[in-house]
Amino acid sequence: MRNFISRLSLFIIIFIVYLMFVGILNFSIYSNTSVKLSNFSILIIGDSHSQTSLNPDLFLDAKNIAQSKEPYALTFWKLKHILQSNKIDTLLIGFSHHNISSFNDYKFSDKKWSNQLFKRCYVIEDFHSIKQKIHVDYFDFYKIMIQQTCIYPKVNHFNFIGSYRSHDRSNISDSIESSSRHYMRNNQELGVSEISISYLDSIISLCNHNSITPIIIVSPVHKSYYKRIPKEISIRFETILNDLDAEGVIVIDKSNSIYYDNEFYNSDHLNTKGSFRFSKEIKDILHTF
Amino acid sequence: MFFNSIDFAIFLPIVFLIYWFIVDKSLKNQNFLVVIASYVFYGWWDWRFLSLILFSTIIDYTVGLKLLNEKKESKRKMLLLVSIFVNLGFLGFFKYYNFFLDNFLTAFSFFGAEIKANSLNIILPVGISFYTFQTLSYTIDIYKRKFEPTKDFIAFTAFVSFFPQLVAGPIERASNLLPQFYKKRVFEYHKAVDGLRQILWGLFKKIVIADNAAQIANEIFNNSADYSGSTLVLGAIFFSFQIYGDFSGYSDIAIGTSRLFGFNLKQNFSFPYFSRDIAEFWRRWHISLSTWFRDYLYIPLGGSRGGTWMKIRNTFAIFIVSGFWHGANWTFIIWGLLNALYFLPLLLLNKNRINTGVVAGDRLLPSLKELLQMGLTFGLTVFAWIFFRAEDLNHAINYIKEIFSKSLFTIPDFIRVNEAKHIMFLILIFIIIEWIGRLEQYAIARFGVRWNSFRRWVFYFFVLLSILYFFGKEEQFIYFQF
Repeated sequence: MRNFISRLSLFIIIFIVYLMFVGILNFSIYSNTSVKLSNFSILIIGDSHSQTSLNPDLFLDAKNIAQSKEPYALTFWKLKHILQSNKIDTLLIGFSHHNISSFNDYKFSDKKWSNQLFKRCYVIEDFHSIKQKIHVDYFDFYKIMIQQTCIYPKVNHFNFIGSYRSHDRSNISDSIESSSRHYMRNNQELGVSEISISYLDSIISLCNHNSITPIIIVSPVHKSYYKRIPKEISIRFETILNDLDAEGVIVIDKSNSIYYDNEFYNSDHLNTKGSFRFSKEIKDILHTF
Repeated sequence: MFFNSIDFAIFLPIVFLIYWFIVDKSLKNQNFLVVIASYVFYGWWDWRFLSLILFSTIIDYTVGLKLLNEKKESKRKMLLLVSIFVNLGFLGFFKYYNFFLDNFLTAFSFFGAEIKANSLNIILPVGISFYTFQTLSYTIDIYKRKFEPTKDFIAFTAFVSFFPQLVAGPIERASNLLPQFYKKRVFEYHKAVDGLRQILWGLFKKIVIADNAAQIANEIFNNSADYSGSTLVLGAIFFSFQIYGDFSGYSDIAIGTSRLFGFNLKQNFSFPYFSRDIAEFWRRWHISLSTWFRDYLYIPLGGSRGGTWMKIRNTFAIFIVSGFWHGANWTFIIWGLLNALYFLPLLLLNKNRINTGVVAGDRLLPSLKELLQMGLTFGLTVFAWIFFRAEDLNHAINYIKEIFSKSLFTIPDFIRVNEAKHIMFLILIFIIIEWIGRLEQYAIARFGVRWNSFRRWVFYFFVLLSILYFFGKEEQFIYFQF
């Protein structure tokens, strides 16, 4: 018995020492490296709406780093990190109704989203700035951090850099599912996420501070989805757009534009065809400035 | 409490240390600790259903003792019926009530009669199908005078509720497990090391293989209307590895945990995907359930002793009941029926016992014939799993319709195609290790036995690293719902 316990303990100790060693190694790697994006002047950020609607190849020198499910808090952290080692002129910020829904407040605690978000943000997280207002599942976070940093040494820890994603298919029958995912929880209508709105303000302030032109882009959604957006969200959304406009921020709102069914991937995302049209429209508008 | 949870990772060492350091001097205390640990383990999920297990335990313990002293055959039969009625009554109510109600209502409405009845919002107690069958076999064996009932209530309670195999098997026979509670367990180094090794392999199967395969299988099955035939085939293959890794992984953890406490449970899976025909597959898949149905249903019905029609009837009976045991859904019944159809030609041609040994047992690689046989058997199994995984019959039929369309000849394309490639690589490594270890109780039982301890430790180290890396998807064990 003693032999069993001592050999098992030895194995566990070696295992833990290995994890700690690799963890320290990875920590020093990501602490001493920065994100180097190739030369470009326009950066596209946001969540899956920007990711699927803005094709950077149709702009002159743009890069799309948007990622699905991304709340503005994470967008702010990643932008702050990127600006430490990159220079940009224009920032296209994806903005849609669901971005201000309080379902975003659950993204750091509900496993549906949190696992994926923790995987992306362990290098840049600033949880103490949000933990007073929203719940963060620290147990899950540290579990994912160990998985990402303690298993093997790796060079690239910048999982938060996304890219444009194209979809060829079209199926707009999911509007009920999508709208309830964005605006409902436990059969209750969700309200407005104040923290998401304040992080959007922080992104704009960061742009001003770094002499970057922020442009708010509202991509089209299918009418079947649009009519399911709760009134409270719609009203607040319009108020924010008006406020931004008043502050001198350029706003391009295409949420209500008529796009054909076959230009949508699903009820709230454009497919390849739709993003081609939308990107060209945005490019043409940008040329007028 | 799930085997793949942090809770269990804390629970197991605590119980282990108390078992071997504090209560190791007395058999009674050892058994008592097993009962307490088992009730905590089960109550962690929902303590209210502990009363069901306790009630079932008291009934079968009492019936067993009464059967011992009762000489009159009619009274003995009555006692057996009490046990069957109570056990199957619970099972029927919790698992099948809504199914029968819905089907009766549908049948009546078909003939124009409208009957109003509300289905109940019933929670299915975890593991009810497993412990019910275990206690039933105890009473039936005593009734048939194959086994002496126990007078030790604590030992019997420990046998019914033994936590490693309580919620998803293997379904143990009293003749194998109960006598192990009569003797004080003494710690054996090699048994404990073997147990740990089997737990490690079970966790690998569950967390690395099954949970990863589940990500792809779920994506494809949940959105099957959007995908081509070739993608749907891939979805069914991923599900095949999900269910094998999930259930055989659970069995490995259960058997390994039992060995840590000095118990031997029966092997539940014996590399079923290397089977050369369906009969061999069913001798290697969920062995404890197949043999249960063989001994308590197939043989009492006459087995294969009667004429051809009797053989056919009994074969269909065992497969359909087996399908129904898995769940109250027509998909499971069709799954059972399909397996009966696969099995039938072998039975009628008297070829159901030609592949009884291990495939290519004395060779490194199988022959071309064996490879084709294994491929065909695997293909048939994958096809049947579509019914097992589908939400309902409509879903299964549409899924199969799309497979047999022109789109079968396109390149599979779905959202997580890159992830699927990585998982396929993991599955390939898994198949190779399983093939190398196919002569043993579980694949890594003697893996690297000629290696020195350093190399063996390196191997365990990498298995553990991969488990840690993939840990966290926390897919529930599929067989918990049965």
